[in-house]
Amino acid sequence: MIQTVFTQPNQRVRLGMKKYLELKRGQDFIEGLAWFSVIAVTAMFLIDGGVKSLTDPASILSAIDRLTALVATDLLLIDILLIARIPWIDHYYGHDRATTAHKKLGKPILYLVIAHFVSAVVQYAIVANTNVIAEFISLLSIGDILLATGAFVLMVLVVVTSLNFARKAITYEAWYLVHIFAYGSVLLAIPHQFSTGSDIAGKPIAMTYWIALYLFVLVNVVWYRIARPIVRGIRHSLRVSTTVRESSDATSIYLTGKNVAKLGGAAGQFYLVRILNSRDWWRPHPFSISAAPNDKFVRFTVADRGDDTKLMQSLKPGTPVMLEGPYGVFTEERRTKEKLVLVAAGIGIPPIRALAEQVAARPHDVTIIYRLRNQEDAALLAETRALAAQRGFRLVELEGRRGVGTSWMNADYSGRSDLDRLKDIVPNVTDADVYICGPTAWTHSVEKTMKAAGVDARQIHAEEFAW
Amino acid sequence: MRKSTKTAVGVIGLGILGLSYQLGTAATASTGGFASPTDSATPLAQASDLATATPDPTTSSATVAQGSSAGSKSTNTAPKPTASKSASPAASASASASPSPSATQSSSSSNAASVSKTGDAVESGFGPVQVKVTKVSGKITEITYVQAMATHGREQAFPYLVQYAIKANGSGFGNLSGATFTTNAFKRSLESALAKF
Repeated sequence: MIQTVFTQPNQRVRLGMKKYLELKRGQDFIEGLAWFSVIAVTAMFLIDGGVKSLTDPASILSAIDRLTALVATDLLLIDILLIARIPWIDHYYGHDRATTAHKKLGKPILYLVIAHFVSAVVQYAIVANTNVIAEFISLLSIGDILLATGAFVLMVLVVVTSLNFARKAITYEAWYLVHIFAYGSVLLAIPHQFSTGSDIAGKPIAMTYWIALYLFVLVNVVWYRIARPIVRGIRHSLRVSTTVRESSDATSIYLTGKNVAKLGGAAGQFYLVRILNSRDWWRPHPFSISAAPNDKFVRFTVADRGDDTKLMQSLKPGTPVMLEGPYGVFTEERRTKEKLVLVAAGIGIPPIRALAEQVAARPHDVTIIYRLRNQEDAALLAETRALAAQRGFRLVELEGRRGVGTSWMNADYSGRSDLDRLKDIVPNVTDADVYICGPTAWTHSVEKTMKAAGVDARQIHAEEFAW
Repeated sequence: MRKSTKTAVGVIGLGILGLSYQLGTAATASTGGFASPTDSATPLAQASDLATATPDPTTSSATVAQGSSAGSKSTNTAPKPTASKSASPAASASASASPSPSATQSSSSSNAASVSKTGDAVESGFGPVQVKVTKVSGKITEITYVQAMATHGREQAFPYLVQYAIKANGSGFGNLSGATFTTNAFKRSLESALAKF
């Protein structure tokens, strides 16, 4: 089934640098808030005399113990916000950047927590004049400390299982389950912070700050990660209506339900898709929509890449599905120029295809570059051709084996560089916004060529589907 | 983050931290904090390092309830290291809150009326802490322990806590490093007693 009836494209689009500046301002505001939260807890610690009279090992350790705990807790709460798929974070950063930041922050937080744990135990041992082990065991007799120790163990587990080597050794499912412990870790640590933390217990300002921060994170996580997906799931009751084979290894899945138009979203965005059967309900899969949002259906086009994607190939019509999202900033919202170059490789085509359908454009404004191995394996090819013909866009199919080295184009034996060939395909590429979707290494290669061609970084938009 | 924003955040942040540091260290000077009692007998270094501190002695350490022995209500007088050590015959084991008359080192020459209130018993994690506070014309002159229990050397904190509280005339003194739990319990009991005045 080739879709030839397309959704009406956007009629208007805001272009230009003003939009970009608004975005940067928003990002600076959010990052500024994050930094000031760290500064605030440190300032409260200092005002409280945290570093006065550091005269002996015990008092120095005590200061380290307190400060590391405060900063680590603050960063941990920020780290949770980063992964909570909160719309206002997604809007300013996109899911991929937020996720990258979340990963980066994990290790420093763990180091701070380890420093807190070690300095606390050693300091107490010095003061009590016992050895560290005996002191640790005696501290465990305090309920809150026992819980906090549990939190510490969980946190080590979460970070260690996320390290690259461990991540490769265990299955996604195991990693996912362990990661849910992170919430347990945060909760278990709370009692000892409020009952015994010298910087919180009995300090009204600090107490207010921390309670407010915890509540803020709690509300965001509960609403955006749990409540809203459920509410929307019930409201739309989406089900698989049909599945369509698109190529030798890709399938389109059509979802229908109630009030599909109200799902909203924009071409280029993705949903976390939960298949609601007994085996798969607990883990969502990220897929970009492969047709512009419309009032009839939501469509994903998924290639069979093994494990997760395999089961998507054989979904039975009627299977209930829950969507979380839409997420992502690979949309027209980020567009700054009139001209567009949409570049896709292989199964990177779905969001590109959706963008081509939705973007506001006149004929000849848009060039679509589709890198494909051969026509039989290229998903949505016929559809993209029909779309390009209908809207007057240029479609350039780079078919065949890949070029030598880091080339992102097909081999053409002329020996010309990607840059030269790009200039042939799109002479005025510096006047265009470039949207790129494909495998990570390929995407980087395209970005490099675009930059070499003189395209401003602000005009380059990339979505990596390997994440 | 753009460079200009980064610079602004950096400068403002450092400014705030610098100011906080000033405030924090200034606070030491004004309240006296842990700084040694008037006669400079006990420098902070010792005070915070409870294990090695050996301010005083004998009279008191025996009366502080130790170990896990039942919720004993031993009344402990808190010796002020600076005061005459001999004085207090520490009316230990006189159960309950009966005002222990012998009350130690307080500036007992008071002609002003002295009023005593007993605070709540607060569980520190190492044992209960409950204090009785005596005030003479608005100033804390004496603090005695109705209950005081701690283990692992933390019982050594008790005399210091009394000393600091009298000096600060309330709970506005810092943490006693190494005895956070005990300090917090002491402060809460003290505050509950002060609230009754």
